[in-house]
Amino acid sequence: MESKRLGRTQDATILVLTSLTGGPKHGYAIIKDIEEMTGTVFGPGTLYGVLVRLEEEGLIVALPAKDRRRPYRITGVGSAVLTERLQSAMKVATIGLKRLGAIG
Amino acid sequence: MSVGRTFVDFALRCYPKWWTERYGEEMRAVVDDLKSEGRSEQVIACGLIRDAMRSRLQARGMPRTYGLLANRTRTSVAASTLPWMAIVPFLLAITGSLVVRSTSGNVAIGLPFQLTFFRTEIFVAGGVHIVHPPISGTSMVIGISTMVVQALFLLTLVILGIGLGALRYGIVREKSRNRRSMYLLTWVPLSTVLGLVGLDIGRSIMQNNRLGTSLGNGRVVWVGGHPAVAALMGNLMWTISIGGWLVSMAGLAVVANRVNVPPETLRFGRTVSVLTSISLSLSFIALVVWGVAIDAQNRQTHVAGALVATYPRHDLWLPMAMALGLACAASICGATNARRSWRTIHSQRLWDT
Repeated sequence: MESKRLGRTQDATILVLTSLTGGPKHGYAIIKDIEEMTGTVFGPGTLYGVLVRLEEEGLIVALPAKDRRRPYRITGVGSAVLTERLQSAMKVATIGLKRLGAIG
Repeated sequence: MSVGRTFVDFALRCYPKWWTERYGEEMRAVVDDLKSEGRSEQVIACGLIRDAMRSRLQARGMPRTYGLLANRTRTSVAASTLPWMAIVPFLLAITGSLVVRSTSGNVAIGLPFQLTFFRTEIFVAGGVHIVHPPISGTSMVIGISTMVVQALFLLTLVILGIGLGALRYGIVREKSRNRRSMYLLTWVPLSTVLGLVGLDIGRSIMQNNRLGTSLGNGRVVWVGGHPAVAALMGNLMWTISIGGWLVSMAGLAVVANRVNVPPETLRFGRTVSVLTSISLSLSFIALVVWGVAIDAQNRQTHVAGALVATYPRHDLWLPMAMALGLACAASICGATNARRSWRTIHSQRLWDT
């Protein structure tokens, strides 16, 4: 329950990009991967809202469809953007945890 | 199961055509996979409808071709002008029906309660009339806000009339296949107005009070005319005005969706949509001021002989304000999208491609 609630507040863009760093995936595989990673339950509407935006911004590319399912792959620009955002999030997380006394 | 299936199908049909062509098949595959693992179809469908609305509003991922952007501009123009057409008749009916009273005598309504050239006057017994009757500040505000609504209506009507003329010109110039039927649809509003004016003139001719004669004892006997025909014409006016209003709105929606027009007509449509949304927003502000001022007036104690305006349909103020607020939001959204689409067409000179 707690992990689900935390998951919902996370940025959908980061989740999708992180999922695609493990290799090209189609829509359903991305949903299942994110569910396993964070416990966040994605609907197809939310997922495709993100996929369309990422594709338009050039952060992912669509690969040829296989049996109705079209896999997506993260691009070099997408990897760079994800790295930058994760580093920024890690910095904030480290400072927050230090102030909370959770880490030394 | 069948209900859910229908709901998901309906949700998928809510997406724009370009979106379905690009993502429809793979989206169906994802939905089928999620259904097979037992995910609720209703929840899936709700998410799809939400995303479909977002896709329609934001057009993310839409290919930047002239055809698609021109279609988006046209439908956005319709989305900003149709709320005005739908809501303003009700607004005028609520704010236009009024009774102005004074303890001094009978009141002939004019400025500042109605948009006319004459001032409100009080006729006192003995043929005396008061040209500048006392009026409280709140009553003045009520009157002015009513006039603002009426003035905005007339102004927007002129703007839409000019826009309709530009649309007709654009349809004729473009020479597309369906231009004849589309051209005919654009004539509906003007035909309705002309029909109403004609019937009103006919009705006034047919009414027997045109042939009244005054008898020596002060009584007036009305003779001649055809009161039954006049009454029939009155009913016909209502039928034509409601029918013309509905067909005009439906016609505008169809034309916006189906007809091709040149780029300059699109640009003009964009301007019309922006002006209409501004007019609707100002009407909304005027309605709010009107409603608040009436409440304030009703709490005041009035000076003897002062003008007091009462509106029999004032009770409908709040639902009207809510409906007008929604119409405003839809109109502003439409105008914003029309501006964005036209800007993309114009900045990339897509009509040359």
